[in-house]
Amino acid sequence: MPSLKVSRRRFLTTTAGSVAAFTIVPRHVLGGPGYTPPSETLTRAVIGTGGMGMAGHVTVNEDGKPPVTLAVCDVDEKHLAEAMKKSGRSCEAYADWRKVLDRKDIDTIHVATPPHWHALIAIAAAQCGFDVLCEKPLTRTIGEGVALAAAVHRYGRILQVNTHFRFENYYGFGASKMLRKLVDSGLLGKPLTVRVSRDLGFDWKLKMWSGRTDLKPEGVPGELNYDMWLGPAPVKPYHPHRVHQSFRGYWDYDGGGLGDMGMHYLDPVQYFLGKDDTSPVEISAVAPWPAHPDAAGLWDEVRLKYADGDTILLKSGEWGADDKPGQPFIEGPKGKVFANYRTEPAGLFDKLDAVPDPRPLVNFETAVRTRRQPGGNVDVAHRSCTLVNLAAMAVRLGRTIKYDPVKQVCEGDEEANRIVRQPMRAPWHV
Amino acid sequence: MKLIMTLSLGLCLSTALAQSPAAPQPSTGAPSDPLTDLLARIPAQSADAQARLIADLLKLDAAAVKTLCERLVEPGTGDDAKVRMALHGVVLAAGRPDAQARRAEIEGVLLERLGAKPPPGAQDFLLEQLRFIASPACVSAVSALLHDETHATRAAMVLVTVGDDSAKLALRSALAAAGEKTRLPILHALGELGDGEALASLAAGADPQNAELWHTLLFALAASGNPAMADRVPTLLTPTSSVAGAEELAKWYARSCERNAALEYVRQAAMGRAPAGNAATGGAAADAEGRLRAMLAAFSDPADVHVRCAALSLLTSLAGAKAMPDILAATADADAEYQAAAVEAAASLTGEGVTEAMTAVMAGASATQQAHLLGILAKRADASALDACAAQLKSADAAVRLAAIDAVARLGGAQAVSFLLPLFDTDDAAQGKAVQQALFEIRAEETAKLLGEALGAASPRVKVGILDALARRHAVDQAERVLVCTLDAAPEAARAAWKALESLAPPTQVPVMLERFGALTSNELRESAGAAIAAAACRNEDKTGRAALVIAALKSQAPAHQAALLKSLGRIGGPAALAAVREQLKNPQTEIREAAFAAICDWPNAEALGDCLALARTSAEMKDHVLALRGYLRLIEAGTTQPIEERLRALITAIEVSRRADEKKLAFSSLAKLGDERGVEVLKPYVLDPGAGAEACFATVQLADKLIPTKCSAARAALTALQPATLSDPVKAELQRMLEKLAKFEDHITDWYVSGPYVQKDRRGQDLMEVYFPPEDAKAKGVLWREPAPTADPAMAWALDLNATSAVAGDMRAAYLRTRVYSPAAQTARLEVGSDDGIKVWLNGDCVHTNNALRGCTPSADGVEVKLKEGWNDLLLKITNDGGGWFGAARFRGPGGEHLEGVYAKRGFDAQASPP
Repeated sequence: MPSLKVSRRRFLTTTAGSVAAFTIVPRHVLGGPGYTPPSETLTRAVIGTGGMGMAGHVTVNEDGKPPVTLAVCDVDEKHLAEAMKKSGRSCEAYADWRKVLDRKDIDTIHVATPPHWHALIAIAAAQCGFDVLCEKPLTRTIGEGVALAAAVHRYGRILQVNTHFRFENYYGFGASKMLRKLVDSGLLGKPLTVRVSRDLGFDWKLKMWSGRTDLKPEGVPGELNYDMWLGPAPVKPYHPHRVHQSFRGYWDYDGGGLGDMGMHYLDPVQYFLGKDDTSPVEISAVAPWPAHPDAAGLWDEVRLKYADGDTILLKSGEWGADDKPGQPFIEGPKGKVFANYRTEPAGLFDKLDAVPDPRPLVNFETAVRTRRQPGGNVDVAHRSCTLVNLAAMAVRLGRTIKYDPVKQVCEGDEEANRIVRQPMRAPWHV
Repeated sequence: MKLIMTLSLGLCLSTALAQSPAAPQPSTGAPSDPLTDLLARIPAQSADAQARLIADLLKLDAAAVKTLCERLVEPGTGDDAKVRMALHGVVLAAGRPDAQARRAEIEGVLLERLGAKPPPGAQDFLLEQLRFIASPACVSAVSALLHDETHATRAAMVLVTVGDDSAKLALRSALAAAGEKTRLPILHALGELGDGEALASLAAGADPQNAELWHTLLFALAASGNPAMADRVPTLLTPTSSVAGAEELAKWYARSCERNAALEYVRQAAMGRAPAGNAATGGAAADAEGRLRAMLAAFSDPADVHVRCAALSLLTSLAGAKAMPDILAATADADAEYQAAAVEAAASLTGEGVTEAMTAVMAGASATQQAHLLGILAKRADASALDACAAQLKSADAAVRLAAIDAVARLGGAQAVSFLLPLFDTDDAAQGKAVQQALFEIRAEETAKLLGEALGAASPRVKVGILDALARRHAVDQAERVLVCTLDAAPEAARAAWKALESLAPPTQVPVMLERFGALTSNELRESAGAAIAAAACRNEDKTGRAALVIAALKSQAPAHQAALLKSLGRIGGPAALAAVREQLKNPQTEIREAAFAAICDWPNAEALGDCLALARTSAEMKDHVLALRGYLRLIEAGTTQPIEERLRALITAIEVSRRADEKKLAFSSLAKLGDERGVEVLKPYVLDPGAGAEACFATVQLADKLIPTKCSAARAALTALQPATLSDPVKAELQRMLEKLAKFEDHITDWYVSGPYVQKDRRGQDLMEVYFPPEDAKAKGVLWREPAPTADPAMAWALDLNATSAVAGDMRAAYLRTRVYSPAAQTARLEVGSDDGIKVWLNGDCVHTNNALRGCTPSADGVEVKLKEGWNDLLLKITNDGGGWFGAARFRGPGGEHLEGVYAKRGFDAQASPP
């Protein structure tokens, strides 16, 4: 392959005369004694420095070191100050993410804001020529996901969602790759039902991430730019429970436990079922209804059924009837997979030695350097996030939804489509 | 009775609600009426209750819904959560595809209430609900709010949802009279609706420095294909570096937004949604293509590669097959980003003539371009490209051939089989592997059948490939055809057939397989056949009968064949097979005797444990002793279902029986893996052994690793036992690592009483931290303290898992842990605690630490200096849980983090100061 990446640095080297104008460019990016040559080190900006933004420092390069963080950005001054303490000398602080995108010495943008900002920032980053690592859930609505995928493709960018279970072990059920091989081998038969339930070790954290319905408006703390925190979301009176971590409990920003754990749990299932390019056609939920219009809450189960009959069953164990213990994790007409690698018939995993491995998944770092699509690229991430958003829609609407995975709309169901695509607060749009 | 109540509910509600006050009602203490009763049932607590609730909510008539609307209050001035839930339910039910009449009715009720100017928070909620069911009927009422600074944004969002001409007209009208703060949402809404007609006049005087308004305006103009945008496009689609100075360059984000808007305008124009282009140049579409091609040339700076990608992507989508030369050029570009973008753009191409255009340029393209084109055709999945791709299977370039293999497999389905099979006839290993992967990935059902049918006429090398493919596909229906190949004259084909049968043969084929086995002349073939026979026998569901046919065939075979079958019996296992093999240990023929010996040593399960030990003890020759002892150790390690005492005893026996240090080392390693604390004493005498000492030391460290954190004292004893030994550097490093690990976990208190759960309605665990509950008062009467269930997860043995105690377990609650800590003297100590989620600590009645966190439990997450008094000290922990895991942990260490001699915990309240 010809030389790869890195447009911005090439820009700097080819227009050296104008570099002096960018006082914001850190010294080491331009090279100097004791520094790793920039062409070998990816640089990044972290937008949103709450929980995931700073945990994101553990996202490492192939040599095991975190990427060089040149910019951190947050609408909360306290978060920003904390982030600066943890970052290197060369890091600059920003209160407005749009200013971060003016930087020309940065390779990747880590979008670690609450989900209602994800699509907007990631699309803008793509338009500006950055590659993007985006926290999960990828987008708050299916419509935003469609727009994000289009932008990433149009501008030839790399986007990886920050969930990695398809790359590695899937909770207590072994490597996702082995589950994929088992499904591919046909030993389980078709159609398959996959249970993602509490009794099998999947904690949906619904109570933990439930919104509150008794919020009394409070004054906005001085360190927080609440209008910018809300961004595209409708204006609602400030309460500390709406922001910072507990924001997950509100539909305007996220989707409760579904939003938190959904992509972790479902992205590998989509992968091993071979459904990365499609979505379910029928989605139903058993949940307390009516759901609160603002606060995400509990549900019992959600069924996501694909056109070929494969079904993903989510069971929360936090509301409704208890699940029968000892249920299979994957169930097909010819075989079943249970916890602790037990299968029926026994030893199915031992029969996979001769089955070729699925094509290797490329990680974000390698993808940025080689321009090969990463394992959790925008298309597959959008599809797995669609699972999360469809499940949330079924819980909210309290009825079965029919979904067209090609057109990505609910055919003949205007009400559902008003959740698939939601207008944003001015001036934000995707 | 219940039925009558349900049927009459709708009627009762209307009557009752007509009399109910319009003012907000408190959720408790109000006079009971059907609507209040209904609200009290929200949220339903069971599926049955929910079904009844839904039915009743759906029956609410317009008057009842109106009353619900009237009960909405300003946030913070009352509790209307249930009213909001009920209204939300009513609205969602009205939005169902089969509820058009109901939808209009409910929309009318919401609009009526909106018109009555309820409090702003209620208006906001009504607009939010209206968005789910809004129809053109609401435009007039909602557009009136476009001039209200508080509600303009919400109102505009509702009109975007309606989205028809009447909504656009209302927005245009409102724009003319819009104030400073209401202009932006109106303009934004017009942009969302792609209606820029009203915006052109604004564009002329707009100030780009007002970035939000400017970008919104550009977006709106572009999305609507408004001609006011046309004059700006040439500038916006010119590289920044050629039109601006350094100051302008810094506005990278702003320029990108503007450029994106210009690209969108170009797209709209090309699609005929903007004024036609120059007729002389072929109209709007041709103009757009020309503009985009100019961009491909102009944005040559590497920093702008994403702009070139966008231009190419757009050009491809607009020009279709006509963009092939541009795509072809891009696939040969020096910039890998641009190359990759070209492949992606081309793969998404649709329309007539695209595949033909791609295949047409294939022949004249470079090898790199051909590989890219094949990748594109594979992704596009248009089967009409199959022949063109198949032609490249003969390319002289290896990369092109591999790309062609992948493309043919993806496009051809079962048809690809005939194209791909000849490619097995190669010395190129990468090609063979690619064909194998391709054949596996073809999902068409008839693939296995086609592969099986091709066996007959295939060359030996191709036959090997087919047999391998059938095995990988688990094509059991082709087992008969595969069996035929075991007679193939080419040994490599026969060997591959036996290997495939190992995956495919059913137990019914065992007799014929045994018959053919008897005729095999080479050792290698007998090995493969023996493995296949064993595998087929093991598929017999009758476990006891699996070995019968092989045992019966044993005696009629020649010695070399008998030896191979003994190995098969070893693979099959079971008492009958073991007895048959054991009998052959006395066979006068060395070859058979040795095969029986090897079969026992390789036995698959613990049923041969005693045989292996006996052979290890009695073998005169060292090699036999070693073979048997290694088999014995392997079976001990594999026998995970055996009681640990038995496995420990067996390992001690293995050490005793070992005649060489090497086998002792293996036994030490197994001992470490066993992870039983009694292993420490077994290893101790060997620590100074000149032959096996180093291995004993290493095994001791490994054993300590297994014992932490569940048996920290035993781990400490193990590591202390190494003090007299001279350790190698790697073992020293491991020892140091283990001492650090031990320091992290040891001294944690595991002897607790627990009291709880403590909950309060609608309060999260975190909210309970500062709520007083009786255990916080040492003198409180009637507090129930119970012995908790032990922590089940060994990795968390240092902490108490509160969810393990079923009477306490759950989310949104708190519990207390209590114990007494003995200190031999008054001293300063460091109290280290961990918790999931929050923790509060009292020592001798004084609160010494609080951390109301939401977190997972890690050792020593918090530390605080405390004073321990001489004798017994009361320790009380409060642990809260919002959800998920729930753990508490504590320990006392010296001020420098060291172990405190003589300090220990005992939960008994009547414990006396009598240290052990």
